[in-house]
Amino acid sequence: MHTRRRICTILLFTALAIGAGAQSLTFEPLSYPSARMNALGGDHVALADDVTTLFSNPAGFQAAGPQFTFSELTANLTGPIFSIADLVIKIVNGTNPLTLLTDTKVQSLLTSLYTAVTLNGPLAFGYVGNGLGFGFFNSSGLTFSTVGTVPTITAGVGEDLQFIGGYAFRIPLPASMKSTLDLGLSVRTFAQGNVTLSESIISFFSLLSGFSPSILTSQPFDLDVGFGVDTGIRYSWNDIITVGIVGRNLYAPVMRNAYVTLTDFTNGAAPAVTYGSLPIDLSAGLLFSPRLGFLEAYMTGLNVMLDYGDILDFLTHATPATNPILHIGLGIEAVLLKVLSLRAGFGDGYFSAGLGIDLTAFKFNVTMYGSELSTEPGLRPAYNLLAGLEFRY
Amino acid sequence: MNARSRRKIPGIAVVASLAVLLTGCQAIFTYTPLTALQRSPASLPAAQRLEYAQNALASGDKTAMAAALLAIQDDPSSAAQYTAAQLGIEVSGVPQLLLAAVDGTVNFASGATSITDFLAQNPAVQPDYLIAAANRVAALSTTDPAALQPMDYVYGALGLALDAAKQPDGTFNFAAIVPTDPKPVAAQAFINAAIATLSPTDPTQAFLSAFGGFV
Repeated sequence: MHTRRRICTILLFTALAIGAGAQSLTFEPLSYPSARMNALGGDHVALADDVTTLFSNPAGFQAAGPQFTFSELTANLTGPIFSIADLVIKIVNGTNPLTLLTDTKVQSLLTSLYTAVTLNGPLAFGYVGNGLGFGFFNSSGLTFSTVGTVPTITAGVGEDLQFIGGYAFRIPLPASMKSTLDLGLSVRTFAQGNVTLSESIISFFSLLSGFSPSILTSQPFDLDVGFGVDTGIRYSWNDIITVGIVGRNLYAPVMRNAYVTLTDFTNGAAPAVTYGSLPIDLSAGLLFSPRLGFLEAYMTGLNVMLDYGDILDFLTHATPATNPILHIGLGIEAVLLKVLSLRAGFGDGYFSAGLGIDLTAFKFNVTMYGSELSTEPGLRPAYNLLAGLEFRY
Repeated sequence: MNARSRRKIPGIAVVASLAVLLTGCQAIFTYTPLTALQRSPASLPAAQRLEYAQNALASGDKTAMAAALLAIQDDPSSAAQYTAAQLGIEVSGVPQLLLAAVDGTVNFASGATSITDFLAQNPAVQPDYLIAAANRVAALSTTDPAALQPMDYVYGALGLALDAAKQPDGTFNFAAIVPTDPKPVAAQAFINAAIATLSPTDPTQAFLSAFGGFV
């Protein structure tokens, strides 16, 4: 009996290893921007008190919640979004694009542009608590980027769907230790569709001035399908000091179905299939939640967090490996009168700030933060404004 | 918490929201105190050097572009050669010159009697970068034509023409071009191939046709 179980285990791991070896491409992990976490300088793997734990550390499913999420509408605007909107409106209203190109402000804007709009929800249905965590989420995105003084513009339209489910076990420890130790495992499945359009600026403006849906449907379409296994550990002493470690995408194969056009996809044409994986991400973090004494009448919670994310990127996905300093995330959150949360952080090399208001029926969050688009601090900074409503109870 | 305190909360929240919105300008949140910790591209492994170069190109930072070009110029991969060509084109200053010509701030006929005079009047333009980039574009047009954009052919044609006009003393003289020499022949062949490759409706076709006749 034991021998058979051992053989099965060996076969399973051999299959996983073969699967991993057959993978050739490294895909970018799905992002699901959280107003709270971005205000706190990024994900914090030791923090586990709401459904964002689904994305940060499966070991947190014991400590988090119980909390239901029914829906969410969160918009994340990246880059000089308002300047771009102004430009597009002028073109649509008949201004000659070449005339606009002679404007030095437009020239400067287009030389190194990256702008994106991401919308989380409305699908954000899930639960976390009592060791269990699961959720269905969707996210839609639109990006524009340019390269060069007379630039080539790349525009992308994407839609992500993902399901996360997992469980965390509490390891019994002697009461005298005043500690908890949780181990968690979760599995994510996802599908991601992207239409990408890359044109010289002159052709792009011509397309915009005569815009029709066929412009999108005639562009290449990629449909990525995959799953990922995450595992984590979380140790807390007296609910004051907590340490978390998480390994994301430990096994995360992805299949890309590349269609020549979006129309080919809707017509059921055969795609070109390639295989790859999401990169392994090992992250660790520390949480300090001090007792506040007499201040608790006003300040009902204080969390200070320090994380080092994607520790092994130089080994697991060397090509986009970033400067080690960009892996550091620092955040502080104060909850006033159980309703108002003030947040500040430092992550990705930039400062962040935000606030959240719990209005019982829904939570409102607004965050501003900087992010680094390159691998080095300060080379390609991007400004982000994130605002949203979360229906969580 | 009593009822009066609870009633004050929305007001406090609105004031705090406005404070964050008003003070949260782009400059604050795109400032990093860590710029000095940037790694030199020359010290990075090859794959990361290419990543850095692509980011430098997208950043619009000419200093970073020049450093990135030095770091990847000997990488023989198609992606690196294309990025090096793009970096060379940008660092040469020619794209800015074209835009300046479009909006009239630079006039090609303003007192310059030769291309050498013109370059002396516009020191930001560094033709050697464009020539090196054009040779990379020409090589890519045979090895990886799918990587090239229409404007790459325009810069390629300009650079190859400059290369053909370059004299041993470093000056440029289009009048001295001998049409049967290898460089002008290569430039003309590149332009002909570009015209054949690009869509007939592409706006760069007209430029290439006119320029082909000139060379």
